[in-house]
Amino acid sequence: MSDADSSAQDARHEDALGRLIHAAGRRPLPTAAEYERVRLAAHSAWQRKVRGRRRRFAWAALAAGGALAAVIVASTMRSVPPVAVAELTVARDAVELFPPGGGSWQTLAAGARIAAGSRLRTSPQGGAAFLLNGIALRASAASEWTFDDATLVTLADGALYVDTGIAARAKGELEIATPHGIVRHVGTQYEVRASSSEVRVRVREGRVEVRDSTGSSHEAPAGRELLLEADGDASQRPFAPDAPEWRWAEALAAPIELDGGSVFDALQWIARETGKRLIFEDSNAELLARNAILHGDGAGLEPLQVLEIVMLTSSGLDYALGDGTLLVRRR
Amino acid sequence: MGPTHSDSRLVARLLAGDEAAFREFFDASFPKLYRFALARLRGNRDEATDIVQQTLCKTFEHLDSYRGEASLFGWMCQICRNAINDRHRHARHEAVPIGLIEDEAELRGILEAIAAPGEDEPEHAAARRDLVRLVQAALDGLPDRYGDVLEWKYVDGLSVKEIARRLAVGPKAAESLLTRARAACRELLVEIDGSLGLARPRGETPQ
Repeated sequence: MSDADSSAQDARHEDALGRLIHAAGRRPLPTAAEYERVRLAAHSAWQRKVRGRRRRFAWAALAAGGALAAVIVASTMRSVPPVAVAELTVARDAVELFPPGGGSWQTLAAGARIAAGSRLRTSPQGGAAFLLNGIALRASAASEWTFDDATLVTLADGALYVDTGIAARAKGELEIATPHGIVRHVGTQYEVRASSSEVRVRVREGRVEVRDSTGSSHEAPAGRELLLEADGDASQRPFAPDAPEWRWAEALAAPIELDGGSVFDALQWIARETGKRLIFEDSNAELLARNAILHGDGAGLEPLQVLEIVMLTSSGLDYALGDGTLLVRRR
Repeated sequence: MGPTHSDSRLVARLLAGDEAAFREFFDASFPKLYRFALARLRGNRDEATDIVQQTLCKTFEHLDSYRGEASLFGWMCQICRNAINDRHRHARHEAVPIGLIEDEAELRGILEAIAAPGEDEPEHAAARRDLVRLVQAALDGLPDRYGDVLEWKYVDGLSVKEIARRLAVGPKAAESLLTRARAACRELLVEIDGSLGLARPRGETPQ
């Protein structure tokens, strides 16, 4: 074949290939939301792997000093089944789990233990509360997230409310990864709401730090809302700890055990759950609250319903809900 | 497509915790894997997203057992295939054939159907859909950015200059990349079924 024939054939080949590719058209692409959701989950899985390897390397280093001990530990670790990292304490409507090893969505009942790597979702009318490493976690309706391990939760959509309890835990003990940043608490009560376009952090008590995808850090104190947008813009505004937007989390509070406790303990719990500051009109009112012992059960009641019952059963005390305060006084 | 040195290097960087490697890996593999799953799940996007998420998580879980005996993408496709089979088993679906034309060498029949008269026949439309998917799968199977470059050129109609700008390289480098991409694509399609005139214009006989 001459050079001219050969280049004519090459041109025909190119033309045929071009027509074929053109006829096939553009390849389908995942949507931005699908991309973000999978990226977050994959990133978490990758980080787990990297952290696991680092831990194993540390074990290997220890083995230099005690090979037998390390072998025993390693063989034990291999046989350990998936670790339960959280427990479902309250389930409203359908709360579903997608197991880490694959399978299909399963409906959970209160008391279910959740393995690391599980993906969860709440229905559009639902909600759920969990205990994770001693931290109370509540999920709003139509939320989806993954319990990566006892210290990391990846929120793909919806809102999570975190309450570490009155005794604030160490900084960074729980991280919530969102499409636009990683949220660490310095304080104790906050809500993280994420979507494909933004992440919103509302701080009720304490202080929260958010590290965005560029590595920049943003802090929000109690009573503020931090907004981080997909284009990297960050802004803050005041947000009252007793604003109506917190109601969904209040409704999912774990039931308080009233029986045998004091009115004072119940009032403290109510004030914390509703974002109010507890104030006694005078020391006699406080003394009365500390000495009155309650009987009965608060199961199934929301904090303000518990307040009604506590006040009805404790003679001599009355209350008033003000802007940010719960005032308790003698009748 | 066999394993490449760059696959092993990428795996090593991922295991070392390199964020840039994660981005590179994810951006390159997610769309391809998504299409791989989509084609095997009858176009169900939700299921495809779930399966790919599961595949990527499993890939990371077992990343240190990757021996480089197959390409990294091929290895992930196998994990993805297993995940799809598991899903069907879990859901107690009736046996759903998920093997596709690119999985089994049935290309000849399809191309013959396309070439045959009677273009309105349903078989012809089905065969055309299979061919479209096959060509798209072939583009996904090409190394580096060959698939993107060919799509930009022949689907989007970009000039070599525009492709060069998109890749932040000179026009000569873009032209050379395009030539290599064309050759690799033709080779891959011929590999799928060497005896067909797929990569050759119709009527031309094999040399």
